[in-house]
Amino acid sequence: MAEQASCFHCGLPVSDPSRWTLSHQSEQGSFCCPACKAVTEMILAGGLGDYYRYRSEMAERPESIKEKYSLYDETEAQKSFVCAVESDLNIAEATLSIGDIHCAACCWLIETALQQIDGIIEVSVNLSAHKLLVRWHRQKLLLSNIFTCIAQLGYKPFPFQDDLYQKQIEQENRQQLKRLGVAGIAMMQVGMLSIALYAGEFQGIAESHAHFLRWFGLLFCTPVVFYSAQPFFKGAFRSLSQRISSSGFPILSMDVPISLAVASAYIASVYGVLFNAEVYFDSVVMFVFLLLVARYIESRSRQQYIQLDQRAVFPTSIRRLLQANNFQQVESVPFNQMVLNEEFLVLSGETIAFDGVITHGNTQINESAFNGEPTARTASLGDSVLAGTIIGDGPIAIKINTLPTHSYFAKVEALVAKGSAEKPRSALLANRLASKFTLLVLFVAAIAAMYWSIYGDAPSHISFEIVLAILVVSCPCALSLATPAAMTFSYYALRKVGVLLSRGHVQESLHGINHIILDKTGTLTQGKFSLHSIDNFSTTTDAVLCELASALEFYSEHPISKAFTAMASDKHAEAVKVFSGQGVEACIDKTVFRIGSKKFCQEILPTIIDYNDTPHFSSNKTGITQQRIFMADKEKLLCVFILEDKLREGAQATLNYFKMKGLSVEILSGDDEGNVASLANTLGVLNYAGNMTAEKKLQRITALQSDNKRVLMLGDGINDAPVLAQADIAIAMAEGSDLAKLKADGILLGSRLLTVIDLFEHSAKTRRIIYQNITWALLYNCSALPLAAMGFIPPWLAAIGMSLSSILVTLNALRLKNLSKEVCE
Amino acid sequence: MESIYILIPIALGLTTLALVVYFWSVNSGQFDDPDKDGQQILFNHDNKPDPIKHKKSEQSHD
Repeated sequence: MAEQASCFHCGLPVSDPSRWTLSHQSEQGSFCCPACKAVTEMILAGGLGDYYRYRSEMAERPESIKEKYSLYDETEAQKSFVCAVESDLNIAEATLSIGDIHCAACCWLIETALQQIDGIIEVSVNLSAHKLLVRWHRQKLLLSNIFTCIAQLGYKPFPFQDDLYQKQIEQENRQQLKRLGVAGIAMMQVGMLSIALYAGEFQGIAESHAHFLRWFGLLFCTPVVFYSAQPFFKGAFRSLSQRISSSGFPILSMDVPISLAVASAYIASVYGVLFNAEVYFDSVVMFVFLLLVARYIESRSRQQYIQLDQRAVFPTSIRRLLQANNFQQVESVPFNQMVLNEEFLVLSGETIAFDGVITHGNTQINESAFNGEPTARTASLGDSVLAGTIIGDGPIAIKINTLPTHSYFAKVEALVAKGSAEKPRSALLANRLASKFTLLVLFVAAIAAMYWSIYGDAPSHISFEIVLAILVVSCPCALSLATPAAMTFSYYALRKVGVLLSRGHVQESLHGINHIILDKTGTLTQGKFSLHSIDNFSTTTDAVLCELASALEFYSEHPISKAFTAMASDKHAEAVKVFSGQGVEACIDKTVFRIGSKKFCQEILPTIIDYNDTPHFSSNKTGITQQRIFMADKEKLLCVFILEDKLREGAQATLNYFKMKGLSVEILSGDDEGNVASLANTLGVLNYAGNMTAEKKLQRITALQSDNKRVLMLGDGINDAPVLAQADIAIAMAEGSDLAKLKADGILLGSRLLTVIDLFEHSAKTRRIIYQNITWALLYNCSALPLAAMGFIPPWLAAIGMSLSSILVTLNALRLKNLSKEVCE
Repeated sequence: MESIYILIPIALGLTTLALVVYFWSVNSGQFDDPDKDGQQILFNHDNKPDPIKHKKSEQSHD
């Protein structure tokens, strides 16, 4: 990494450091592209260079500003997110969502840059909600100028959709904060009283004073139990009622032992207050407070992901059909300007933005967001489709029949918000252990109580104290904190290097992985193609061929298509069929054309076999790979486009790491065998296969899995999506398609392959610490339980033991806050 | 030690007051963005456009 220059703005590697440069405060910066340089120039010219000093994450690479923000100047388009300020009609207030905000420096940059524009009155950016509130003079400034300014800084502005879901999240957060605050403040008070009581235990304390202190302990503790700890009780109740209704084996949720611990310690303390016995208010409040902190952090990080995800789900602009059933006449309009009964176009791999009915084309619809079913259903003319689902092959036209506020997606989202407070469903080791342990504790406590009440010659309150000591000493606090604490810190550490984990099981199941499958285009390579040369076999000119290709590839979302769609084309394709991972077939001027892999074109023109396609794969010092794209009609091969793509930085190092770990590596690609082979050879990968469609990839992976292989898939494209869903762990590239990201368990935010190594190393460390924690917690609980049952541990000692073990577990987990040094390098 | 009979109830009163203030501040949205506010203070310095000048330019247009 140190050898290679990285872009001053976005941190991506720079291939030619002298091409785009700029000096800033006696520092020479190189850039990866003119867009990054332009953004930096603008930031420096505005006197905002401090952004580079304070930012904590690299900026997103800016895309050239292509969205037409002038659309938002119309009153109609502004309706949903702009309102007039009551006191002055000239002043308007708008709420925007801003994509790609990373840190406080980003907020500062946007706020300061906007404040410098004449006509802006007030700007305020909310980092957690990725929201911007702006007030401006209508006469002096157009809204589109604000949009453009934000876009020029390298962020993605779009109108804020005020929905139920966001509101629920906000409410939820505030509720959690209040619960946390009550527990925190009560903890301090109870702590003060408890120290007095503990000291009194040793030095002697007047009974009247102790009595007074206990009563106030009860006063401070009661709101914590009844208000702050409410979510645990509710969760426990839900878990128990679910078990009863399904009458399965009782795998209790973590909330059950927690509630049990809180309730039993509280009830025992109330007893202590009434009969001048021991009280445990300090343990109760501290336990609740620590758990609430862990939950708050956890839910916040999950929400952050969900919010990111939502922004990714819906396209910002919609391709509206100007006339019904006419694909050629399309205009792009903002999301919120579409009304009922209008038609819009969706390309392959894109997300449908509205509930509606298909008016043109056939496709496969992936509804996994709703029903978790990975196999797509076929939908054709007249079938209804749901917003938030993703289509396979396209394009299709859809007529809107429900507005977004009432869509099925909105309803599901509201449900999700409700459910996001609950833990992820995957039962982690600690949870399973804790629930079994709870059953054991209850059992032992019951037996001990029976024994002491029947055979014990002590008065009844002594046997109660023993039962109590058992419950307190064996309270699975440490056990229940062991995993969430470690996971939370580890999540943050990984997030810092650009690995976003969206499902909780990744770090635990990464351990069993023994086979890695990689996609080629876009994963091992950057997936940014440029046209190198054309092998022309036709009678027409290269320019015409490019136009044809551009018209054909317009409907594809494959990275290759971007090499062509940048070129202007007057031609219009009809009857378009997109075959994921293979190519596009369409009709132009009454001729059927195919563009795509060699095999794909062979299906209509078997004679292509004559073309000599020995890949001129260069010695690859520069890390450039070549790719051939064939274009043919039914009579002849028109030409072969030779495209160039660069290997991702760190591809070789990552593969070496996998090898060192003894993992088998395999490359599966939809590309032609020859291209895949040459890449695999340079990278030293023995297993590879080309011409893989999504189905074939899926077959391969299920075959591996039935062969007892645990598979990690690293991919990015639409044809990877089913495979990502099937793999034991799936990691997607941030630049990948929506579908791939939705299916993945984790996303490499910076699309840096090397961070996979961090993920492996840090997960191993996390697992070690979780095991240490669990071992310690079990050891403590198991050794204390028999002692308490035999009556050797007084309740106050039990309380101290419980608190200390929880603190130890938390401190141990804290070691995961940063990636260890060796990993970073 | 009789003073605890006065001091601890006072502590209870102050705690209640603190909680009331805290609830009010949470409800008014002051804690909605913990990520940014913590770092905001770092950015207030000379390079920021002069607020007085800024206001003047606004007024001159009115």
